[in-house]
Amino acid sequence: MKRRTLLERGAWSSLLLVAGCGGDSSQSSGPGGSDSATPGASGAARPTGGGTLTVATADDIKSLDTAVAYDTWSTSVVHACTRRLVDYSPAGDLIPDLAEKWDVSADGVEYRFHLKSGQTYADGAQITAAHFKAALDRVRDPKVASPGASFYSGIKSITAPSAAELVVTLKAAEPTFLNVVGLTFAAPVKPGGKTEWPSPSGPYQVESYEQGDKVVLTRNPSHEAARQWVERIVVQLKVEEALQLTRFKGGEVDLLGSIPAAEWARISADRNALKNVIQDAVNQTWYLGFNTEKKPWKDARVRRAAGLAIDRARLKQFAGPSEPASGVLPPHVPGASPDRAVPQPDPEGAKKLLAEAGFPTGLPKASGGTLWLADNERYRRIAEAIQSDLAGVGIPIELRAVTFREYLEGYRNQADCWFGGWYPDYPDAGNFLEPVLHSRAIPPKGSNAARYRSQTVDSLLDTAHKTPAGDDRNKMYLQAEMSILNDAPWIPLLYEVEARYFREGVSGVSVHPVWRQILTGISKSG
Amino acid sequence: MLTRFRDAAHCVTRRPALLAGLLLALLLVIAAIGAPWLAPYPPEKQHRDGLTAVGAPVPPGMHFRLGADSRGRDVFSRLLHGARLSLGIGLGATAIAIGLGLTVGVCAGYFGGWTETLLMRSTDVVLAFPSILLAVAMAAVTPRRSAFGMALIIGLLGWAAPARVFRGETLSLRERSYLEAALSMGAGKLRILLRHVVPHLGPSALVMASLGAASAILLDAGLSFLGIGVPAPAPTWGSMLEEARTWYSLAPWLAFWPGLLVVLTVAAFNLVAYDLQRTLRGERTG
Repeated sequence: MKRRTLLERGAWSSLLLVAGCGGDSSQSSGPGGSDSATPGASGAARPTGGGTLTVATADDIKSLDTAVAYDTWSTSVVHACTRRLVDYSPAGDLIPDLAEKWDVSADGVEYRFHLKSGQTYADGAQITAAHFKAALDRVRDPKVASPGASFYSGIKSITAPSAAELVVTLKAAEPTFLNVVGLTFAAPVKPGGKTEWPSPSGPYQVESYEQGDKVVLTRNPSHEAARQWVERIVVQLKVEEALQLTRFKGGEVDLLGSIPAAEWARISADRNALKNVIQDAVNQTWYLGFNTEKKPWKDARVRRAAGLAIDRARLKQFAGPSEPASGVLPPHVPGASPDRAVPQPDPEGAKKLLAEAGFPTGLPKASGGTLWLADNERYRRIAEAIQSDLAGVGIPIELRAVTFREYLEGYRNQADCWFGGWYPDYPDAGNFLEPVLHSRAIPPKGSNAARYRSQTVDSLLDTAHKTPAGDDRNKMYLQAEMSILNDAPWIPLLYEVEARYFREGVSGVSVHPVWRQILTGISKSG
Repeated sequence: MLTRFRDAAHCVTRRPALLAGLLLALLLVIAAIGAPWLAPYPPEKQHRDGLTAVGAPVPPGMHFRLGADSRGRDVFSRLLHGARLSLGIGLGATAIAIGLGLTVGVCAGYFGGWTETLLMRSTDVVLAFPSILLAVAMAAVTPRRSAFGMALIIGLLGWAAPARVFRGETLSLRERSYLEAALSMGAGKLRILLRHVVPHLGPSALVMASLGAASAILLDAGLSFLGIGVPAPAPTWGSMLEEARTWYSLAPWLAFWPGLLVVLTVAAFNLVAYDLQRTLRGERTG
């Protein structure tokens, strides 16, 4: 399966490395949002639906084709316009959506989905099983070159015996198959309709889309829950962070997907302002990655020394909304150990390890190589804090801040080390780890830019992948994670907290454990 | 000797623009040279107490006299060390530009013919490009940008205007009878250029250097502001201004101090140049 990389999905505003394998769907349709950490964030009296919600982002939307959309904002818009067979509850659990129920054969290779009756697109046309087959066939078509194709490579055949029944047969049992059915790639495609935009099976439909400028969504009149939500959503694209804030304060923009560091510092001490912020941890880990084939990072002792040098509490000061990381797996992923203690900085221990590695007085100048990062103020601040911590124990590195596109290529193929972020397509440890730390994912085949090779970890990941969800599976992932932490191809730094900032009168803004920058469920009064 | 010094001091004190410019420049040079001793902290040290719990820079106070920056570093220390970089790059670039401009201008003016055509058309080509764009392009393809590299880039972009001035003056000098006399006495061309032409270009070179230094410092600040100067965490004034951009409402001191120093430095060199220009034109008073 495929995973996304640091910015492919998250793109600029959130610089994420996304991992992606399987998944579940998330549909955060419910108003009110999920587990927000900020009191009153989406509370307020629920107004009747109507009005226009304007959102601004520094990202562009790469595509609105359901088979192609994969970055954060493309997925966010496609998610708002579609429904799938299964979805994710606000807590991140798989729930039925367009499928009323499903049966799985005893050997786990056949899934028979029974569709709800009377489900339609925005124009009233019936949604049938054939439309799901069309969507899955399209994603798997090599001519479409879908970035999600690998999610569905385990499918042997798809049939639609009737309008209300879809049968998917797999080559072998896949415990996370339902997760990938919940991804936006698997949203129904209406026959004869244009594929550039999603077939509007969800609460909104695309009214217009100008690349690099804006996308406008209007409410789907046949979607009952959406009647309480805003009538139109305008997503302004490629708006620089400072300009986003200016427009937000001037009333032109109602919702920001991230909060600039200076503004965060200002409102953090202001209880009134915090009422207009909703924040919650999402499944994303920020990390320091090393190319384990290059000197000096080839030596695990040097990598561990770097890990001991990092002061995560200080990094949090630089990063804004985030939490110090105690492990590779982010807290909401099954199998993660959120209670594990956060490693404390130990500069003396780091120096000792460096001495053991043959550098008693620290590494020679510039021998730590170049740390790559995608260029924005938040990442530069974090990277400079890392640089300062490493310099403190005698590991000199240089920084190379580049555009996101350059970064994506550079960290995989040129970097000595890099500052990256990664999040799974759905809450699953295998979906998180396999794309970036399994040896078969070493570039050019995958995103294991660390070139990390561990037979132990490979074997644990392979076995866990075939094991049904539960304690046994989680234990294997825990063992794999412990091996990874010990080998230190990555130094986990922070867990991301998604913070969204909205104007007075806006309600229903939420942070979803699966869907980033969720646009559904939002109302506006006044 | 004492009399000459007294004359010079008397002359300077009666020219306020020159005096102000020289004093300012002197202060900046002292700050730059003395930075390692004057700065209370290393310029790259990130202090845990330099940021508040939510990551905001702490304002000016007892600990950080001019406040801390968005990375928790001492602004005062960075300004002092920034003076080393900014002045070093500015003056280095000026030396390169004046050296190149002098060579090109004098050769073109003195030899004439195809030499002049070739050199002056090259000068026109350089002048035709916006220098900031060329600098951005050159800096972007330079893998490791050091202070010397930045001085070289800026110097290579700044020689064309001085070259035109020096060519014009050389053309005028070439017609002087003392040059003909030197030639008739068997002096070689190189000797004539070095002994009889270049020394006469000194005052113009001084004016061009003063103006050029101000421009070079501004260009360096501009490039650093665009993120293509000497890389982080080096304390350049331009990068300090860039880092201050998103913090201006919460921490205005971040932009104020480096901005003030850029203004003062440019003003210092321009004041000196202004006075020297007036002197050359014979407008000096007193």
